[in-house]
Amino acid sequence: MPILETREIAVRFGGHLAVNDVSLTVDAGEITGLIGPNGAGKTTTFNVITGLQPPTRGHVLLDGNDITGVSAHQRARGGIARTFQRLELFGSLTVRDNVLTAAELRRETGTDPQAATDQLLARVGLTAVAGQRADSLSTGSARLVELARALACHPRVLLLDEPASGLDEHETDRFAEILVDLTGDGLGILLVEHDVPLVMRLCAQITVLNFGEVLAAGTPIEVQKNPDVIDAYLGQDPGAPVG
Amino acid sequence: MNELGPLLVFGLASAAIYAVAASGLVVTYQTSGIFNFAHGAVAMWAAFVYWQLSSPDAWGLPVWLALVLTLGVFAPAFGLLIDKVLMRRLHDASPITRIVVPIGLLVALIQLATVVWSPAESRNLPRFFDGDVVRIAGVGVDYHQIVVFVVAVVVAVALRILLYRTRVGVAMRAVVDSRELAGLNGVSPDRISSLSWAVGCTLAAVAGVLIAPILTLDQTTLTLLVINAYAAAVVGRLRSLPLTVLGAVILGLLREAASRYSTDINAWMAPGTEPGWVPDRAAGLLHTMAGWINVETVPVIMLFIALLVVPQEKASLFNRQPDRSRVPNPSMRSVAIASAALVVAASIVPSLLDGTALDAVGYGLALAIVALSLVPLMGYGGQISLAPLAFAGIGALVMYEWGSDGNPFALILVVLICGVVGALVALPSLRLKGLYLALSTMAFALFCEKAVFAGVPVFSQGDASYERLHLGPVDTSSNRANLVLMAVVFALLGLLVTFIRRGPFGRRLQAMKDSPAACATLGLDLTRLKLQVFALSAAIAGIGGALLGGWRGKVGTEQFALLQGALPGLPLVLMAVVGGIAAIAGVLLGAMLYSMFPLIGDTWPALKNLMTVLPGLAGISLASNPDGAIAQTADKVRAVWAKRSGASRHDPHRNRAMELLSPPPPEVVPELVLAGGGSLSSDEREAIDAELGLSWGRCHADPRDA
Repeated sequence: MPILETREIAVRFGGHLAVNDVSLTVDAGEITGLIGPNGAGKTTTFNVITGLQPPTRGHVLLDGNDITGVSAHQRARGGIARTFQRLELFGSLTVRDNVLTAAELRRETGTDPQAATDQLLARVGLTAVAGQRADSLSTGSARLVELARALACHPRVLLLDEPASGLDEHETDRFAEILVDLTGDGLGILLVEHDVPLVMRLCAQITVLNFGEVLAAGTPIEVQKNPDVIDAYLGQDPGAPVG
Repeated sequence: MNELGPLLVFGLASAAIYAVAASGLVVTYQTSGIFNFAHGAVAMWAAFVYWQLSSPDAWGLPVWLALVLTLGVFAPAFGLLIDKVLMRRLHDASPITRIVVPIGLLVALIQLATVVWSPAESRNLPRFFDGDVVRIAGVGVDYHQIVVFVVAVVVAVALRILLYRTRVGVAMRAVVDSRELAGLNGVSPDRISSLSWAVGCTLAAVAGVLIAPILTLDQTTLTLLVINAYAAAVVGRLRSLPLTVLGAVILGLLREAASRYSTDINAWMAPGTEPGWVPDRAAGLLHTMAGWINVETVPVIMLFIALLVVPQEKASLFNRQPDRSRVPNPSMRSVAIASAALVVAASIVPSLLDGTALDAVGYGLALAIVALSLVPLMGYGGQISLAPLAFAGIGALVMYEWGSDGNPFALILVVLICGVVGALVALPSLRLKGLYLALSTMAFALFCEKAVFAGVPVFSQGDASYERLHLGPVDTSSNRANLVLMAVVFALLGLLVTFIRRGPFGRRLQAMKDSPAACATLGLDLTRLKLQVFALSAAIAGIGGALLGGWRGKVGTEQFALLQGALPGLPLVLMAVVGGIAAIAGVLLGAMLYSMFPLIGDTWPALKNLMTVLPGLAGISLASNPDGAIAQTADKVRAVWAKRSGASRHDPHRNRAMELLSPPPPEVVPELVLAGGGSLSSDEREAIDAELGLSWGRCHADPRDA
């Protein structure tokens, strides 16, 4: 059974159907990709899953339980964590306090949130800037803070919204290593990313969205060969980064 | 039926004025996104200007000319001016600044009006057509009321035509939807904004000129009466003009009904008249609550109910305008040292000062405790309350009722009652935009003043007295001991607030201010957190009020009103924000200045007018300096220091929005670890960073070598 599942979710903003009948699943220990052009409904799908946007119809299931009506903070306590495409850092707090706030909220018995925070900062390579105000960071580092903060919640499913944008090649490689490493602990990851080679390299399954609808779904090879996907998103050279 | 006719006629006449005033509010809010708290003050100014121009006691111009000058020249020009000078700067300001600056304008206008037109002198405006009466459906109606009604209908029709049938109106509605997009389509958002402020202020002026003849010409009364129109605007969800008019009609009829039947309503469940099945205690409570209903409280009660019943704009979880204000993080040690210094100072001051000067210091210290209540709430949590003095008043009232012998256990009651009331007041608007919190706390402050405090006659007359605290063997009845006691309480609460700031609760509050969306997705229950901080804040304010009553000896509504002439409540909030709402020293400075201004004015009469208008002007100045005085001074000191040491500091407050739009160029080396370096001074790190083109802090010594 997948950890996370959406069943035919739809979101209507006024007359515009931003997401229509999107069904996808995320399995434990795997990275699932969610790709598509800008405005395809990826972030809205994330908002629906995390409870920030109520769907017009459809259901969200965590461990097979319907959580569609459950509030955002309760979903987080259930094990869903995320990062944001448009950064949502606690700008006036230090980098360390950003992560510590999350660690304190999802404190597990017998663990020290301070130690857990330091460990996470070291893991994503932010120890050097731990004392800086978060809104003084470059975009790439800020995305790493969001990652560390989400991990501090001990999630079982992690939703990453364009986490590699703003990272350089070296940082992206390191980031990919971290993600693979995380799945080893049984974490399920849903990854929205425009860096197509990265997605193809990391993901076991990929869902492609276009105009709010699922255009294709399958393994990276299946998706790359799908003429609709090539036409709508990838273009003729599927190796080239898009976005 | 005999009763229904007058109720309808008079109710609709006052509804007409509310409709005009509330429509003006809605138009400006919709086109500029800024709620004009000063709307009532603009109406009041127009009424005074009209009096100045037309009254035989002043310049004595013909009525028609005075009307043209007031409504056709003064009001629109005033709208253009405040848009240009003030409101336009607020588009990118933090949510708190967007609310505080218009409140600063409200306070400044009231204070300036008391300087120009002394409240000691009584003034009257005649009704139109000399109040001649005509009989309609058996009811005697004066022509003034007919004029009011006709004007309201004309305004409603004209607004409808303006917004839906003219190019300008279409542009105004386009700016509401998207300022940037409208700009790209050839509409000048600035011109449209100016126009809407001109229209809004003219509507306020029309309401002011129409309402003043029915009342006396008094700065606070006129301003507050137009504040009643908030209830109508909230029924219209601050966006729909037809629903706003409906709200105005409901408000007009309810007020008229309250004025006619208040005696009957107030007598409900009076002792001896309650039905046998109602327990005595419940009947007593219901009777007290029934006593709270009168003409002045109906708009406030209606505002609360409208907030609960009419769906309003929810708070956005995503912060589009991140609050970039600073939150100082002093160590417990430095706060403890400063606290000790304060207590020592409090023990010395009575040897140096006496009389009104000493009274002002004690008053300022008590108010500083009240202002301290805003530090966790507004400074850390970004939640707005305009009612700290109302909670302080409840604190004083509780002491008067249950602690009149100076029993310190009554303070526990103060904390409990104020905490519960604070949470209850915040409850209806917790999920709504910050503006609604401001509105509901403001309504609550008015409710306390007009109902709760008014319900205790001794308190409403300002004669409520109770003994200073008896703390076992410690006698705090002398001025010196009482001042030291207040300093100790301020110091302890200051340490508590610092402790909170440095711990998980403080981090959560700041996190909530910075990004509610991230908080929710990390598992933080925002509703619960807001309730907790509101309760904490109200409890601290209550303690301040309880001590204030002890210091003053006699207190009452006058000290705890929302607005009292040029001072209480709102100016205190302004001064706290001006001092620095996130800093303990900041609110102490703000409260002390608040208490000293009148004293300075009395000592040097040449400065009196300036001292009267300073709190409002200081509030307006926040448009360009939202961090407050302490932060600004600290900045200057730091700048001078940096200049001296020759270091160019990294600016931690550079514009993040610009950074997101244009990502920084890729760094040559993302992170540089210097092996064998031990430790690096900040100057060395900066120099290496600059050499390699790294962003600040990316270069550091290898910790393994430390």
